[in-house]
Amino acid sequence: MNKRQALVQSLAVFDARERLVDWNPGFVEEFADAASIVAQGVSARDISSACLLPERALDLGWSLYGAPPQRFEYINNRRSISVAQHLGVNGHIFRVAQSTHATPPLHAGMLDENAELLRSAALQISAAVLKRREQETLRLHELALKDGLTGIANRRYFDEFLDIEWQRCKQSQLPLSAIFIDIDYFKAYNDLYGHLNGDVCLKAIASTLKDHLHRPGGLVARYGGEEFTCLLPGADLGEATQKAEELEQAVRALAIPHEKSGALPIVTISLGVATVPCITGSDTSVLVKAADLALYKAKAAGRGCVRSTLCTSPC
Amino acid sequence: MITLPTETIGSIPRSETLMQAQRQYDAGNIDAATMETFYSDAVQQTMRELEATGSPIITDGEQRKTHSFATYSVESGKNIAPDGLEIPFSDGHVRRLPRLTAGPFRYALSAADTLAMARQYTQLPMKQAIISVSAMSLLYPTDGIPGYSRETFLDDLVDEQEKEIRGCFAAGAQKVQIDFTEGRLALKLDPSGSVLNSFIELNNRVLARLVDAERHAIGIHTCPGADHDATHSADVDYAELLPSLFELKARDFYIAMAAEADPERGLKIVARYLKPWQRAFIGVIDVNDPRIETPEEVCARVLQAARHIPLAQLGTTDDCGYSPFCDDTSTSRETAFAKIKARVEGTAMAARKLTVQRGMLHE
Repeated sequence: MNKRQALVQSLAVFDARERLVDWNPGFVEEFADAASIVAQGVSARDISSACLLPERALDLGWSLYGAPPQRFEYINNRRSISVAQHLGVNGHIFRVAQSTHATPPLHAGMLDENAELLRSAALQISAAVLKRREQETLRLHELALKDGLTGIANRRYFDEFLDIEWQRCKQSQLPLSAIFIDIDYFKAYNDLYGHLNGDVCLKAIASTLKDHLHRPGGLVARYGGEEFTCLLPGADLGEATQKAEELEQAVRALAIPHEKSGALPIVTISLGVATVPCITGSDTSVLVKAADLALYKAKAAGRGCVRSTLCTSPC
Repeated sequence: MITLPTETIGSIPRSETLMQAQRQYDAGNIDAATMETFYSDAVQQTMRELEATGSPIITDGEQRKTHSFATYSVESGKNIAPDGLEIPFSDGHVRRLPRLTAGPFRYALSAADTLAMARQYTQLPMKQAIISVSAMSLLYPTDGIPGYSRETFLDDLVDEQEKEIRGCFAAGAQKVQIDFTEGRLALKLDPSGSVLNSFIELNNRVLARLVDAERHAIGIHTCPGADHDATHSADVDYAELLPSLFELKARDFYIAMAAEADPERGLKIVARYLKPWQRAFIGVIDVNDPRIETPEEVCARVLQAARHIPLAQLGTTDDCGYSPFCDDTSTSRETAFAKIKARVEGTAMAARKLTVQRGMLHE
């Protein structure tokens, strides 16, 4: 509802003459304007007078008649505070208050059918406003996690996703695999065909990788420049390697001309696969480093191929 | 020399001639062209009389807001029915809002257009009051509209209001005032403050689209309602309303105070929560009281406010418009103009006293 922190539960005990007997720090926070006068024996009226709060916030007048009011709410500096009070056997008054977001009762002065309809309409509008806010927040969140050029996840999303899946696979005792992908001789491609065509190439490859991953829970992300990465929760090394080979073939099948490539006259990709078969630690960089190393080996082997590695050390 | 800005809220009671013409027009006995001559005459007459009060900035008296300050913009819309929600007042009477029957939502009458027609009648700066989007949001029926969701309606409403505000500035408004009377009512409907905060968020969606210079010329009016000398939410405490109200992305706030049970306390709350870049126009005229305040009384109220609110952030106003609904005859035009004149004179008197008090001018 608002950005203010919730009030620590406020507790106070008053004697039969409405004089303060005991209290906790939450009470001082609730009646902050009166902090300097809060002491044993000070009257509730003096505390109330020192504060710019609704009178009902600390109105103990009911104690004269012995019947405490029902729990009620008031607003204290943009926080909704719910207050409950009761009478002890020796006339002591116990007051408990804390922040709440629960739906409050209708205002006592408007207990009729039409007012209820008005309130209902207002609450519906309120819910619609909140729904739009959540949609906007979600949209901004997605924008922050999406690569602007290719439309697939960006590195930030990959990092967050890796953390989540690392924990999930650890708890479920599942393997976790990653594929690191680099477009071969991409600088030469840009130099020859220009950056606009380079962008078209990046989009085509991103789309192809996404279309061919075909794996529940899998993720394709642009890691940077001409680098992509895939995360395959639950996939062992064999399955991940097979998927990497499918991706390599799919990109090759695009047959995007690349006359300056040192591998083939078309655009190709190199892929490094790494798998953690059994996660025990919390350092996710182990998987990233291993996949990166495997990618380096694929490049060293002439590019346009797949190399795989199993992370055997504890991770 | 200290000067304190002073502004009218907006509405001035219609003359019997105008009310009679409106009734005839509603009954189909006169045509739109004839009705237009009545509006035009009423606006000119009202603006002349407002100028005569010494007001430094005036309105058109809202003479063209056909039936009320809340519904003028949609009344002639084809997708509007008269049987909307009822707003209950303290004396037992109710006012009924219209109901939207289909989308898309569009304003049928723009305050920018009526302002443009009035602008020719004065050399003084003009202010235009418009109804808030949160009040208009209550036009959407509780059982929904098939094919037109509440969220889409709110999007359309925000778009329309942005156009309305920009249109008012383009038509020559020096200030645009947003009537937010339902802010206080929202707390009565929902004491948790959730509805109020949503209303504020909805209005802020519009205000966030404006640039700083535009927001600096926007004022928000809050009051407990004033219709037939009755209110709808005077029992809601300012301590619960104002901290949230000042979250609106506007500079000026027109706050009913003269009729408050404890103005001293209300002023303290304003002073506590008013942000440094905001200005509070304090209500120094009780529009529901038939008695005309003297300039001396107004002066005393201004000096009381000045004890709590920095002068650079202080202005004066009336607690509310004098006739937000077209058929409200509880206050005469003569009384309204006399009260406005008292406010203008009383405010100037207070400014002179404050200048002397604070050693800025030696008499």
